[in-house]
Amino acid sequence: MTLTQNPHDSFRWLAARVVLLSATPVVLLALVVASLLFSAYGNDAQRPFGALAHAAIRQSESVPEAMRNARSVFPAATLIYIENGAIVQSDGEVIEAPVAEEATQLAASLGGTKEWEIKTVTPPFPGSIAMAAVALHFAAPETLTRAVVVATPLGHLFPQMEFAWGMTLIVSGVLAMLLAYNSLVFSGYVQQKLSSEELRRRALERRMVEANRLSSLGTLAAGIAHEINNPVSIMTQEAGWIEDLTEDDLPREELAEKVRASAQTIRTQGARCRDITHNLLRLSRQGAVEAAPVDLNSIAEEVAALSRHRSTRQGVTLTVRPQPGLSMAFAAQAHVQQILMNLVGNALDAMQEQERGMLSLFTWEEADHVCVAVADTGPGMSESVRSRIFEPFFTTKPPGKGTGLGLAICYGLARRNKGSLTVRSTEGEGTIFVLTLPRMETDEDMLTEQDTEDEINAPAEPEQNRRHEGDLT
Amino acid sequence: MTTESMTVLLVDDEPDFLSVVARRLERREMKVHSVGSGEEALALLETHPVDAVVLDVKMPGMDGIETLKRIKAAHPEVEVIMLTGHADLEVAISGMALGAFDYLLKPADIDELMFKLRDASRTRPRV
Repeated sequence: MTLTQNPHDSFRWLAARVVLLSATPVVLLALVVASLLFSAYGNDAQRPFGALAHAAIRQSESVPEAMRNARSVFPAATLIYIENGAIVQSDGEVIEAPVAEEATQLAASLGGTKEWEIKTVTPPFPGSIAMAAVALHFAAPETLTRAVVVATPLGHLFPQMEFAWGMTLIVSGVLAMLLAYNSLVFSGYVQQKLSSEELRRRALERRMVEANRLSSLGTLAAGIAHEINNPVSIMTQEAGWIEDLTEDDLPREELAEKVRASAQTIRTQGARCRDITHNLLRLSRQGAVEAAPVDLNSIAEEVAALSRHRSTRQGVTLTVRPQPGLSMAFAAQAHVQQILMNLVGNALDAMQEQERGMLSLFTWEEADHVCVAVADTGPGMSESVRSRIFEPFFTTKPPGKGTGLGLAICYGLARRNKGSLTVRSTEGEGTIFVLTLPRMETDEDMLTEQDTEDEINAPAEPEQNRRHEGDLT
Repeated sequence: MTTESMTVLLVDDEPDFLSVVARRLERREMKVHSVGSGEEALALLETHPVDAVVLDVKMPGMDGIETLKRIKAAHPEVEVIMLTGHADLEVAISGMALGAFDYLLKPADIDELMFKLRDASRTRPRV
């Protein structure tokens, strides 16, 4: 799930491409049909040309006479005399290779009852050459094929038949304009549809994030309510004890001593309740959802304090190793809290079956990022699980326990804050989630940029913290 | 009356809770042992016979249910009363299925606890 990307920036262009691509086959088809029509017309128009050539050459008694007759009828044409598939004589303009070849092929197709044949070379272009081949029958027709081929540009033959370049240009220009206009309209329509879809999706995501926040708070609240039960029952019992004492006939000194001890316990337990409720209140207060400078160290401490009860119950050692003097991160506090609460909750869930688990939160800084990691010594996960954990609705928890949305939402929240959420895990050893957030740029940073760079280059505190990751992986 | 001779074992991880409940039960003429974990409870049961055990469900390390199972396996004659918060009601009920005598919701009334303990010692098969 991507909460923050806006995938439609280049959408107009994409839609335009779709239209242009789908138009291409239509244009190609139109070209093919046009060329077929043109060549069919050209063939029909050549029919009288062939008949005329036949009529002029048919009566000839010899080759020179045939050539002469042809020349008198077609003064501008090229005449080729072909004997047995080879050019014997040609007369007129220079004969290019394809024309000569076509002429021999055309002559070879004569025979039997076919006395003449016509053809157009490279139809349907304006420069096409029209050819008419006429068989000569004056000598030994059964052993030799002889033919005269008359070749002339199509345009010379029928001066009216011209390729309408101008019209073609105009028509294709209009078509291209129509196509561009259509693709713009279409892409605009699609973009409008998608942006309304996008708005609906954003609203849904907002609700999902809120639901996740409430459910993680709810889980926490249930745990804390339960936690408060213990001091409350101690206080109730102490109060009962004081009542018991009043029934007994004790010397004043002794009574006072015992009541004072009870009052002391009640006070201690009351303070315990107060701490718990204060922590809960601090977290449930809707924190800032706008990006602002946040101290990851204090958020880590807060989240840890709230989870301490649960982890103690579970026999998990919870440690926080904040890096002293950590820079402020630039993110929404409520989001960071929500992400860390989810991660810590997951880590504790993962170590449910363990005797002695270790859960540590640590912070460090690198280049222009501030990082906070949540590491557990749980069972870890396989590569196939690891690759899917950020997918919405993917869960390894039993049905009814997890929605499979927690990490997907965390991932989205991290992205929304221009940060990232990554995971490293080794089966049987543990898992580390690292939340990376952009560092807050301050004026001081600008002034002492050089110093900061030196610090980064020097292996200082962060190294120490990073080594803890190394332990696990 | 059986109460005079009744010996109770309290198991809870809260020392303050153990101390006050022990005081109040002792005032009601019961002999009370208190321990802070399931492991200690099992160890103590080996050497000191008790009539009933009051067991907290939520404890770090060995939890209430596990302790209950082990107590019932080693000393089937000992009755166990589970102490639980509202959130663990299901756990308490599953404890009943595992042979717990009864359960009490925290914060429990001392008189209610007394009644249940007396019931437990009464129904308990006497040897």
